[in-house]
Amino acid sequence: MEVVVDHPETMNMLGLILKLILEGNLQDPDMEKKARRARGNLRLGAGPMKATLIFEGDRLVIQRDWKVSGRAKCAASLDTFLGIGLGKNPFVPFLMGKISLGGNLLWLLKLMPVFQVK
Amino acid sequence: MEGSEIKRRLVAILGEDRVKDDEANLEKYSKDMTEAPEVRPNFVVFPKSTEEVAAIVKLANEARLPLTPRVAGTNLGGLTIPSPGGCVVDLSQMNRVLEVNPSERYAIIEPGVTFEGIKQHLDEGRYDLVIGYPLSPPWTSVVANCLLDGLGNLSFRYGTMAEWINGIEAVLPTGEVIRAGSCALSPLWFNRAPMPDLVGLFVSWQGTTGIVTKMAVQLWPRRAERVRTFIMFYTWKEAFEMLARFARYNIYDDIGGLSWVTSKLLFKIEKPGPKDPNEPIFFLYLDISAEDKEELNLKLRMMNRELERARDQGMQIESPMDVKTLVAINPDFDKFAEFPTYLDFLMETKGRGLTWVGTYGPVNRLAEGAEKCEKIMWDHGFPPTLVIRPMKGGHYAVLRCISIFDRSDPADVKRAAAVNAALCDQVLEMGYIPYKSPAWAVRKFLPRLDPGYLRTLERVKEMLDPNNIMNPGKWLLGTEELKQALKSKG
Repeated sequence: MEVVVDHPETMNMLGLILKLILEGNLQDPDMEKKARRARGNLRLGAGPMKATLIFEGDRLVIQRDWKVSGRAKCAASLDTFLGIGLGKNPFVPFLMGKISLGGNLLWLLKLMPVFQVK
Repeated sequence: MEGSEIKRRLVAILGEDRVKDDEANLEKYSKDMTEAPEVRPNFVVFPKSTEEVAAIVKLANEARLPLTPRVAGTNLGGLTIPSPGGCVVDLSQMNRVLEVNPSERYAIIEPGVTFEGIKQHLDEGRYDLVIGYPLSPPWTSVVANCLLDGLGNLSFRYGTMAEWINGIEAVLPTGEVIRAGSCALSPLWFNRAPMPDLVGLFVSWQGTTGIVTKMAVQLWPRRAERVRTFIMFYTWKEAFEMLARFARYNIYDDIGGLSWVTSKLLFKIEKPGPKDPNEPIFFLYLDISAEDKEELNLKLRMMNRELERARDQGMQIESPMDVKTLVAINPDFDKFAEFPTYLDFLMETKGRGLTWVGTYGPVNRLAEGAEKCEKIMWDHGFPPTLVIRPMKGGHYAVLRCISIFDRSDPADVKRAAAVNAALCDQVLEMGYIPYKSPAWAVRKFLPRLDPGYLRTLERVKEMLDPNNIMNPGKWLLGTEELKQALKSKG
């Protein structure tokens, strides 16, 4: 499955971090299958930076900002977001109100491992 | 003297193997990474001792052969580009660490000792001492970086690397050998004071006053605990306000920072476009070392307290991130975890061109300087790679603007020269002074130079180097242009 950054030269750091994590994770066949089956847009936010993961089956596009509507959303401060990205359990910061979640939470939870460093 | 006779005499001093005049070598030594035009020397020689250097210099006087000392040529000022038909004196084979003095904390080294070399020597010898490292390749010469007023990761505490020099041995342009510093009087090379400081005759003179063959450089205790932490800022103003606040505390080994472009380069975006207005503009890093955990935790608490205070005042500052966290996200961040380091993302680019305007100047104009330089770089089509740090406890600062370009593309070379010229005009206007100054930069600040200073420079040069053989033209010394400038100053 191909990970494509939309306009890499102007992509923010969040998008570039996500690309690195996703490319690593999608080497795992189970993870790849999960991402390939997913359809829809996932809005992610780290501090003021925003990016959208667009699941298109064969391609996963990373787009800057939240230009398209999202099936789910996960936003937090940069360090909380990076903590989750580095594999920390998201439930504790969620219970502490440090993460803002929205949309289809079941779908989001299913996809969360895709953007967490293995 | 005929070229063949010069070669015969050089071979008599060094042997056939250490005198090169083949095309491949002459081509290799005719250039560096910058936009400086290539100049072909006639010879490249590789001395191994002070005596051999002295013999080469004496011959050069006789033959009026211009000499250019060189080790790695990584100075980014075109300072090792030779004179036409001259001779490059490659000192890389003089690469011995002659002594490490653990009690007075210095090492006596030859000019070919690299940062990688001295680290290895200190590590393998299990010395409880370290040296500071610049953000330049591991094969950079320690002596050259000291002599060119370069800096390292201990410069926030201890100033430019020239200030770390305890003493030198040098071959003067006439071939005589001199020692300066305490070693002129004592068997120990422990300091430059309390004697008239002749070491200064070789610092920032860019090899125009002689060839340094030995140097005592200061070392510092190896600390048990060490943390490098990065803090991201969203505005220049807040970044430099915090940089100045951190600099007030005497708890950091190093404070410095990199503009957002560096992070993009680390993610292999070669030509980053305009920044997302929502992403951080500046990565400030703080190096903290300590004898034990207790000291380290205290220092970290002080750092966090200052950050809390700033947030309470409304500043938008991200939480500090240990460099290990950044490495976990992007393994390429390890280039900032251990020194010496090789910043391949700056050097292994298309056409391998790298240039800069590196300056020392006021801390309180950093934000304004960064903003103005950023604009100039964009105007010339270069993403603004800025490196900034306070020096020597915050008495002054470094502001460096780095441009990556394609040396094989004449239009790009021209663009690199143009951006440097514009940046130089800007920084001079703001009171910053270029270091490792190429001749073109000296030309720019010549009208501003104090006439008495300039006259004294010229006199010293003439006195030490009557035949003008030592790296002629660097700092414009020994040139007709400088003489004319002096005349016009009256």
